[in-house]
Amino acid sequence: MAASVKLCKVHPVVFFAIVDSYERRSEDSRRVIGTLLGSCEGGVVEVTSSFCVPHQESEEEVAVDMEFARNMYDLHRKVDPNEAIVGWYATGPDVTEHSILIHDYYSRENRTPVHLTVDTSLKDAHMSIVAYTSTKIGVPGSTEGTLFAPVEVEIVYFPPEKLAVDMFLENKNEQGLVEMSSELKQISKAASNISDLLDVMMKYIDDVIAGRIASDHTVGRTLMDMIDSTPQIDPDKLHDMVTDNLKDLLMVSYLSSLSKTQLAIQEKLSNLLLSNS
Amino acid sequence: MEALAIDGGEVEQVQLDGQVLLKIIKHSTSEETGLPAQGVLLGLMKGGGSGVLEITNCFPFPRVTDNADFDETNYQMDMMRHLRNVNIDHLHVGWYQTTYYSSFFNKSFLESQFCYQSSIGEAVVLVYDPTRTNQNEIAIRAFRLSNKVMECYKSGDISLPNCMENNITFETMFPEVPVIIRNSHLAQCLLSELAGQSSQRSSKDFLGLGTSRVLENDVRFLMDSIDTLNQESAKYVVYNRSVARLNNQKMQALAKRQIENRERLQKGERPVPEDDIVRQFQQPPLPPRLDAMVTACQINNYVEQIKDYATQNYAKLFLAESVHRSTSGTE
Repeated sequence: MAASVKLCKVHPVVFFAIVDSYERRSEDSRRVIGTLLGSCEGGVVEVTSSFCVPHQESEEEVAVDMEFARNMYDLHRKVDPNEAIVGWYATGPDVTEHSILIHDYYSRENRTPVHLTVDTSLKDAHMSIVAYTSTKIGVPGSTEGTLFAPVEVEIVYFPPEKLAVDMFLENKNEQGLVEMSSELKQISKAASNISDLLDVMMKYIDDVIAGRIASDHTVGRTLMDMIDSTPQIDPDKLHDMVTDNLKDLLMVSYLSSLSKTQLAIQEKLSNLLLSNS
Repeated sequence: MEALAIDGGEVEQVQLDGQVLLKIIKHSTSEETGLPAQGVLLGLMKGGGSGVLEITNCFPFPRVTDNADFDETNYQMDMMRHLRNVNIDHLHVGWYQTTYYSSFFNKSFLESQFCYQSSIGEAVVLVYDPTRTNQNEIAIRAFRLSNKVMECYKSGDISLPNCMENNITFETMFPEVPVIIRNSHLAQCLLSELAGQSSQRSSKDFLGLGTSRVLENDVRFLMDSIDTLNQESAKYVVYNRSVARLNNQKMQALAKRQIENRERLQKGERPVPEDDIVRQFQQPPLPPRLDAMVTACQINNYVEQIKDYATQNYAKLFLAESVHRSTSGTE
């Protein structure tokens, strides 16, 4: 058997796509399933993409549109040939018996498919995300069963993804919509973030000095390093550096506004020439 | 391609699903650097005359291969058919493109948007800039072509009088549509789940003061565009000069012909017509104005970007100065 899966790294785009396909499910289905795409290296599976696969599920049987799954996978592979099927997902809190059949199908594509469940029914008042791999259990000779063993899920981000998710969380306006913030607002937000972090630190230091929290040497050393790292600059020199930088910026923005004005003048002149001739 | 053939309903705002933004980011990250990543936007126009275009899903175009054209249409049809099966909105509402350093205003951009907008009235193009996103702001913008520009381009008449009549300048050619992002309630639950799990915050490089590299790049691109525009205007100057010279020559030839004709009349012969002279001195074609306008749009874009970037850096510099002043003040 191939190396067993120890860790499952998932990108947030996958979760959003899963939630979206759950919201768009047809009326009679209770849950949706789909394929997970990504790459697998060592014991670590990285899931970067997903798509929904239509299926029907009733008490006795389950039918999955495999043709659809294969076609969609081919289409996706045209865009990114490096993506492979690494498993499948299902919404809903539990792993059911039907899941075993679906998992079997995916085992044909990949030796150790990962099964990801996202609890969209919000049991326990939060959306639990669990990943499983299957192993065979049972006594050799008699009927074998399948055990779905949980695997650790880690959410990984490309740096722009992290920015996007942070933005979704922080920039909500009254109607729950996310607005793009202007440049100055971003600066003020970053500055207030740092100010908050500094407050936390100051409180910690006060507590340690007052004896409420036990002092920790490594933390103390890190704090010392941090304070030493701010460069000691003569205030006049600092002022000079800042004004130099300011002058550079001002010059560049002046020159660029000049080019824009030049464009406007050219338009006006050609219009004038035309109306005169 | 599903063609809606609705004629230019005004789009005042673009409402993007969080999922679409993440998919675009993922596509641009997985594409090799230097190649623009393009794809199709799916969604629908929100009813009730609100002018809001909802974009609910998207899919990427495959990389251009040898038999590009054939693959593309088939690929699109296949993709749309499959998405329809899973209840995803299968109406085209535009396309997206990634760009580097915001240098996306060129003729092919204009043509593609024109194609989309002529078949689908509300088509928008989403431009995502990963280089600007590195500076800690997600740079995603939506553009359309104004209706007047559509008409002019369709009629092929982009000459000066036409533009002046319809008030098309480089500023009004590509009106920008504000983008707002919407997440459904279930997606909000997902977000709180994700927030609970991940503790690292985004990088702190944002408040760093190293501004020159980005500024240099922007200014370099600006200079390139200005050079291009300069060449266009030089072409126009040359054209003007040649027209003047041609007119001069025509006048001289006509005058000579008239003198000849007067002599002939005196001698009693028939005057020679002047038509062949007119035919000899044909006007040269007017240089196309479209390239110049598109370059002007691009220059405008760079200038705006530089100004925004400079604004941010003023703030950063003042912040840094006051922080240092307070630390040195307490020592």
